[in-house]
Amino acid sequence: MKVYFIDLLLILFVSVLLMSCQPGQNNITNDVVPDSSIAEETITADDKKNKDGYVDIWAVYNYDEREGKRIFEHYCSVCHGAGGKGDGFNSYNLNPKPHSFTDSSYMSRLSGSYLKQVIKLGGESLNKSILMPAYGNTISDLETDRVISYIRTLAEKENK
Amino acid sequence: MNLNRLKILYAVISIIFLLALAVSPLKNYFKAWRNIQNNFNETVEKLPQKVKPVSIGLKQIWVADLDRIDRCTTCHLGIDNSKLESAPQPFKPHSKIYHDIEKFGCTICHEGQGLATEYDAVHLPTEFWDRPLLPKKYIQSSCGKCHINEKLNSTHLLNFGKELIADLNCTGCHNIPGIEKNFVPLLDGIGSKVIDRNWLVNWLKDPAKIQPDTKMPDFLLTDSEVETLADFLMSFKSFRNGITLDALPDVYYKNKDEEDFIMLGQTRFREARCISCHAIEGKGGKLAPDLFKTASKIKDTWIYNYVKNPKKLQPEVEMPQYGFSDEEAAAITAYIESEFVDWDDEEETGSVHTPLADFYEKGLALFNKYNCGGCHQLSAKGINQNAGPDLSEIGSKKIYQIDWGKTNVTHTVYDYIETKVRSPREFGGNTRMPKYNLTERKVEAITTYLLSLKEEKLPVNFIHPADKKTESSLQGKVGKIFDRYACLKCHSLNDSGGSIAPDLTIVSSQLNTDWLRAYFKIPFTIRPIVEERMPNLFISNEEIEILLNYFNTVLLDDNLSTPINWAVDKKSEERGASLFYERYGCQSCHIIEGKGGYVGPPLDEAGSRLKPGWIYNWLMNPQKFKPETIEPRTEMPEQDALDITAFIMSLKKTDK
Repeated sequence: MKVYFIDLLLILFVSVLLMSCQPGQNNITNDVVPDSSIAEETITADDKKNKDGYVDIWAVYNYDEREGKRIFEHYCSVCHGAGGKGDGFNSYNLNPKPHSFTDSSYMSRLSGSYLKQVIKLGGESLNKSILMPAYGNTISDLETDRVISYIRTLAEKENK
Repeated sequence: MNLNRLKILYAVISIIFLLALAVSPLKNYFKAWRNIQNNFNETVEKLPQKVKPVSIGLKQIWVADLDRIDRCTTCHLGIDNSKLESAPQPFKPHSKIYHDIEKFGCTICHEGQGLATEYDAVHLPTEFWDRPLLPKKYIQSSCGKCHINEKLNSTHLLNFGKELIADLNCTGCHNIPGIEKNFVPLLDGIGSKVIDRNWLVNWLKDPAKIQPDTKMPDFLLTDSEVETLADFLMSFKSFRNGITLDALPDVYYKNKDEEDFIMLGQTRFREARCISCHAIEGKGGKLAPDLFKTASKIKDTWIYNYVKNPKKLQPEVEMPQYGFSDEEAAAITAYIESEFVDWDDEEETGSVHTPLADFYEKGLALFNKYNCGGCHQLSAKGINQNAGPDLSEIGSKKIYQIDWGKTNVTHTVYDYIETKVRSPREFGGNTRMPKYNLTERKVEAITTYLLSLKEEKLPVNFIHPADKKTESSLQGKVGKIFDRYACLKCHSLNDSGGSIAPDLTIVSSQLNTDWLRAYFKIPFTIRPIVEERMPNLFISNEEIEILLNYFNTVLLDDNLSTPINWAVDKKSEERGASLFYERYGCQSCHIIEGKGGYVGPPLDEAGSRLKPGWIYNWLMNPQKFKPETIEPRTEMPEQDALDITAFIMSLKKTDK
């Protein structure tokens, strides 16, 4: 009799345990926690532009890209253009003109370290135009990485 | 049998009891975070790079100094592991920031319930947690908690918000610490200033309709309130301190329709570069009101007196008092009268308006009700300060303290502030707050700044207050000249003053005295692309000499010199030229002889304008003198800098 009760108890306990295990929560990281990077990839700047030219930069770019954007607009946009198309107001005085960063087939061929070298050591270091000065002593490594991550978004945007 | 039934009952009850006891550990055992941690270990295994799996269990960062325990790292497991860059959320590493996560924790910046481990309680606004996770767009408000007034590069939205709050004069009604008050016209004599009462009525109804970029908000007054206030204001005919207006000279009345006279006014108007500060139909500077339609608003006598001496009528205004003669001032008035007219203005109906008997008392009551005196000064008895709520700790406002009215706004402090800034009357109640015409970005910026104003007292070693500005107040003759021409509205001196023109702190080490003397007489734009331009102040020779004397004795940096044994020769110049063009590519940004970029100043004649010590020191480290300059620091060898200096100094002005 005693054994029977203990068996019963055990069976009940185990079945409760098993039942609790049932809910398929294995993919919880993909379902429950919203992946902010997904939103960032699918929304382009133009989608989010409303009537007074407001761009929801918070949804479009992540932190590194936002910081990169700020640095890019400060140092680079005078020649490379605010949208990276190589059409900054000063580009018309340059020969050769800066290449467009929105050209994705061109940009995808350039590695991160290549871009980093151009920014840090200037165009001359890679036998490109001397008119691209070296910014290695002006902006830090981290800032350079951020600028590069922003530049990458320019080509991606054009691709969509 | 009886005993058996009892036993069964006993057994069943024990099982139920045991099960009830098991609920709590089971609930804990099946928490979502355990699954996430298991999932992490699985994810990590599949990665090509080696990442250590975690042991299952709650993780937390305890920051004793800040009295915070943050369990965010229970799920955000890769927060400080750069190898997990490509991992899915919540395992991604945090972007590189300037703070050590172990020392600061998470909620000090992101807010939210640090102890909670359930997804909703942590990430979503809840009824009983006053500070839910901050949306990304407001994250900079957390920087402002410690970096008080610091104006960091990375907190552009916070800085912009502060500028806007100062610019829109929010402190007229609200107590917001650390914000300076701006100039707002005083209203004494307004009855003698505006052309007719109708203008004032239309203005009060909707200021932005008349002046789209005005800082005056729309108080959403009823028609009868507008009428009463207009009557009240029109009754103030006399100016402060018994000042009277000078009559326009006869030459004005004789010539005001003559083309030559108007042309003279237009020429002076252009030479004085009025559009550096005033826009005309939206084109021009943003420092002062748009002058379009001015003649349909203000009487000619007032304009004449104001052009002659702005500070006589508005003592605190930062408009320069140009050295115009009476005739020139009259000609400018004639030009304004002929040009800046609102042609759509309705013809006067001719009906004479008679104010109600008690307009003054009612008007005064309205003036006080809307706290007009918070911004505008007016010398009248019975004006009270009737300020709005204190905002010095608005970012810590509790949800239960907020009256949400009938709105559907989510109950969070940031949504409250955002809605209030965007449409102040949204929440109903007795609010008097006027409506500002703000773009979405401006709403974001103002909300961010207001959110940074917290009650919370952080430990002293965390706080980074910015150095207090030392207001340099110039005395004596120099002080008077600086004041009269409002130099510091555009230029800065020892970290105080405007930001649209070059800093003057070491001007005499930078510029040649002879060049400066000539520049005062005929100023021109050095950079072809810069909008704001130095006006011709019509400053007297005597004043120029006083200023130059002051520059040459005080506004210097003794360290800015070239090495003693530096000698310029042709060889050095030639080497400098080739370095300029072929090594450093300076022509990307600088023009010489018509060729080069527009970013930096053209360097033709730079040899007559600049001093060699300045060029040399600038080349060695531009950011030392102007941190925000985009000219890169090249770390060029000393000899290169000297040779380029020699080359630039050879570019002298030639009389042709």
